Amino acid sequence: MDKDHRYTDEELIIRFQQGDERAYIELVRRYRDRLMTFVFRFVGDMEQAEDIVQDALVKVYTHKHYYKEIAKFSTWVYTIAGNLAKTELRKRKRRKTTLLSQMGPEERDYDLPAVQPETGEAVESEFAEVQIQEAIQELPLHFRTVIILRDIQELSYEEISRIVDVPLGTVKSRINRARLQLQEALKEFRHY
Amino acid sequence: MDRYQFEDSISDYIENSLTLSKRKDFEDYIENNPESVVLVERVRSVINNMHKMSAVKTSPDFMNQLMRKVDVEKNRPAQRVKPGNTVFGFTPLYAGLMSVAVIGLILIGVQMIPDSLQGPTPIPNHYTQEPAPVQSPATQPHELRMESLAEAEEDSTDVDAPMDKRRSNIKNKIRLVKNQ
Repeated sequence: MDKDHRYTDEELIIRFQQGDERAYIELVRRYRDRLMTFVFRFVGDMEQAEDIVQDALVKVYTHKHYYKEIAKFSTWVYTIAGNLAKTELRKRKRRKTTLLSQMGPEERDYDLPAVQPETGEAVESEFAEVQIQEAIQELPLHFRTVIILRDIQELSYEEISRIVDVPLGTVKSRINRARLQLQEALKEFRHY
Repeated sequence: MDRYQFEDSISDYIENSLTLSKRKDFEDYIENNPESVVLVERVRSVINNMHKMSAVKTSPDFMNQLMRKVDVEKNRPAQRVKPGNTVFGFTPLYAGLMSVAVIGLILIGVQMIPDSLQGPTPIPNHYTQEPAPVQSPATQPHELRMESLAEAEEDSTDVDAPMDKRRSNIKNKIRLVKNQ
């Protein structure tokens, strides 16, 4: 489907709304890895992230008529994926609370597996990535969403503002605070 | 510029989006506070390292799984509603149910309107009739009770009566209870 590269995302979704299923496949091809990166950095679990991305893309399929031309397709699809990811995290939090309340105090120690750096630049870089990922997971959800969209997905402030549906100034402020919290969490590692 | 203003402006400074005057204020601040340079560099490093984080790819079976989910959704019976196929944002079924409920509430409301609102107010009978002679309800039972107490030959509260008499009274009362 190489010739579809000349279509913008918005043109593709309109073609899909008109019944062209190849347009949907092309949109999936364009967005699946971008969404996967966003959702994985958000929830921190590959399997769950893949499920959420699939659910988001199924929603695009079943709710295609809800897309309106006034918004960018990327804004719409990131909003769907972000909402599903938040819902999943809330469910997980409830499950975790229930499980912990059923455990005895001696069972509540759960250390994260230690990452032992071996040698070489690749391993160091991987180690750094794990540290950042863990630090991101510690951020409050409203900070986590915006910093991933800005510093990993590299979206504009304006688009992030539309995705999370908060004013531009609030988005900028949240991103700045999230960065300050991350540097605080990471300052014990020599890379930062 | 104070510490809070400095921290609020770090991202704008790194992304070069401060106005000229604010940028000068920011640079004056870090010149006077050498430890703040370290903070700016740490934040810059965090941004750079996040940019370098690797993209995460979906599994090779992603597309097949997705299409299976899409097929399941496609075959799910009549659960999707196009935005155009609604009445005031409700599906036809819910719009019908809502209408029935509203009509029902209106009918019930009409029946609850008092008759006085539907015609001239009639004068109640008790305002037109002569008042009945009133006996003091507080005194009459008290007098009756005093009489009956006065007529009573024995008093169980009579502590001055001999003990044997009082016991026989109690026994009589117990027998009465047993006979019942």
